Amino acid sequence: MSESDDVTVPDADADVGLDAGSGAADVADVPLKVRDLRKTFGGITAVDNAGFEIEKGSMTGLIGPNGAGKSTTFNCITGTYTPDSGVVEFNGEDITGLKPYEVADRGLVRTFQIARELSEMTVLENMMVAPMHQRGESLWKSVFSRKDVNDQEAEILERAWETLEFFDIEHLANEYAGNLSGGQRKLLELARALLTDPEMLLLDEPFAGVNPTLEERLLEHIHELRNEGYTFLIVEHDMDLIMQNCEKVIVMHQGRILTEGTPEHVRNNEDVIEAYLGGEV
Amino acid sequence: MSDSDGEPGSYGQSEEEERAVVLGIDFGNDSNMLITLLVGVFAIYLIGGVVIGLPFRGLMNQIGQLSFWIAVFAMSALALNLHWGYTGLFNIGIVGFMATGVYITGVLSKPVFGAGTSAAEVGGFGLPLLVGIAGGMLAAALLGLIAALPALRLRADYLAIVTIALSEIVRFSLLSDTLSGTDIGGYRVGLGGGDGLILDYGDPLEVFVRTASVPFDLVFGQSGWLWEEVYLGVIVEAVSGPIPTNPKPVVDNFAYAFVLLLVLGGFYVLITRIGSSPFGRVLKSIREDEDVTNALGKNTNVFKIKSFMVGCALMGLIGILWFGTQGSVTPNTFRPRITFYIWIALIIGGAGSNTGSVMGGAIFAAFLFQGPRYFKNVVETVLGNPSAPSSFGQAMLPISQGDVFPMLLYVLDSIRQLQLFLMGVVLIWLMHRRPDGLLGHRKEAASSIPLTRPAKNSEVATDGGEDQ
Repeated sequence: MSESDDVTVPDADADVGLDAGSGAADVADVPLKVRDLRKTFGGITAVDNAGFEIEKGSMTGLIGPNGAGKSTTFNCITGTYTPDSGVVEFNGEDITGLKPYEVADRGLVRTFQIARELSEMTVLENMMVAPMHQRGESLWKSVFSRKDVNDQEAEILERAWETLEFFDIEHLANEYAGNLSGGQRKLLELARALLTDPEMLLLDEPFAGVNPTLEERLLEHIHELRNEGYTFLIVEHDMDLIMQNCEKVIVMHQGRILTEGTPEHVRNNEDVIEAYLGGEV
Repeated sequence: MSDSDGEPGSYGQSEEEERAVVLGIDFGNDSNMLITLLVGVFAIYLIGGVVIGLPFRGLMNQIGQLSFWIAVFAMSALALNLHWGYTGLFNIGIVGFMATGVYITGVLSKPVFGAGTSAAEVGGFGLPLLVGIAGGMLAAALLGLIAALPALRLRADYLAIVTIALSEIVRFSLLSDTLSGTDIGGYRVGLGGGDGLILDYGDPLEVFVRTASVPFDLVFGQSGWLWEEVYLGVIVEAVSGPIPTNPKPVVDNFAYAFVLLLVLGGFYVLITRIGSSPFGRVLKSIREDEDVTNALGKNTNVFKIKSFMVGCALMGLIGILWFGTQGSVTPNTFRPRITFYIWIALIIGGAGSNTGSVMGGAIFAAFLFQGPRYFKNVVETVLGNPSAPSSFGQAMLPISQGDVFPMLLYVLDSIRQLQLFLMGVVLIWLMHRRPDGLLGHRKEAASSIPLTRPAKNSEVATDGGEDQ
């Protein structure tokens, strides 16, 4: 039944990926480590020796003005870009330069800045793509071993419904994803990412273009999930949102990490005020 | 927005579309729609034949041929649907995979070069036809792999360029003198060059029937029982009543078309199964957004290559079934035009829908491919086979005297050329009025089970639904 475990409700509290022998305790507490990350495009250095650590079960905000290198850092971590140098470690494993699907397979799953729903598929279909290593993803089994596939499909379907209910969008289950509003798409994206059984979620501007009511709901869900043990790294433009909701904030500026710490610490940091807030606070 | 009950019928479509009932026939039901279409097409052909007083033999030949074309185009549209409709792979080199299939089958299954073969011809490896067919499909799939490996890493449009170039490379390779004949391991084999390849591996129909006969042979203790006793002994005998002289070719036509329709059924089941499974769901999501699919932990390249190779193997099989019964093949049969015929069939039917693909294939075969030629026959026979002017000038001249009849005859006589024009007009009209094709607006669910809410979980989970 180990295969069916893949598709049951994620148990984020269980020890996941503690296979690294050395420093297991350290690894368990700090799943994601980024060191000396560097990425250039032509003559422009988008990320310049950035490094940080994300603690397990925490909610960390990554902020910075436009062009600070937040998204590039994100893309380097999740495999969309290959960094020029530096190391990305997840649960003690060096994942630098892995393909996006390999990174996701290790439990580090991202969402996109502009919600990227699979528009000509229904919400349910969108959800059901996500669970990893489905039996029916084998071409052979999908054609010749339907019984086996159907059993797992039933589990996946149930889990998809439950997750939709959790996000209060189950009434949209049979709607084409392309017909959803911007905020609903963001909810769908987060819900879909959850079905991959992630350990850590990287959210790229999850609140952009979301109306305040939905924003509130999205935040509630994220807090609830964090309490269940998921780890979050959130890139966000909205300074206040991050300050109010994250226990740790990383500030980037011109490709570098300017400072990191509690919202209180960041708010009072002279460099941040100068670089990012322009003396506004 | 649809309600949350999500009953099977409400899948992504409104009720009105679902319940299009005309003359007591529920056109919302795919199989009814398909059967109505086919019955209608055959009725039109039969009526046309009766009107011109076509002899029974000619009429039966027409119907047999029509079934053949419907099957061939429907199969092709289905295979292309796997590429384009499901995975979003822009394959415009279909004909190259067909050519590969039939040529490799020829090379593998032709009799060994020897006393019986003329000196100008090449022989084959003399393998059984079924082995040859498997080889042909495998070769087409491998060719697909070669095309896919470099192209799938790039953006979608590059696959289109690679495939159409590849189909022309295949055609020129078939024309090549260098590859036309050589000795491999003592066998004199080759592709035949510009003269083409004589497919003297025996009648495919007979091979198919004899293969199907194997279980019966064990029971009746006679080799090829189905062929000797049932086919030749009963069916062909029975037809010799209405067609006294040489009934076998007519029956052969019918029987072969029947075999093709069976294969078409197999294609439909196979591709529907692929489409309605987690595998097909990933293909669909690659079509929608490959980056997202990748970010969800799917190795999209592997999925794309699998889908592409399966489609190419099927195209190879279609090539074998289509061209493999004609006694010989020449390279210039395999021009890109055939590829575009199949695209038209798929666009008519609606990419993404299997039933639509079959309907598109049937409509294309009946009205755009075979239809104009048949229409020409009917009209000419009704008019008593008048002779048409031989050039445009001669057709224009009488118009100045107020006589348009020669012009009409000229147009009718050029119907084979005008056919392409007609296809173009239909395409433009479709793009304007119905860009999704007949059934493309209605997507088939990408799941192996009905997407209804599980009954046992109908009460809303109060704990957020994350615990079990």
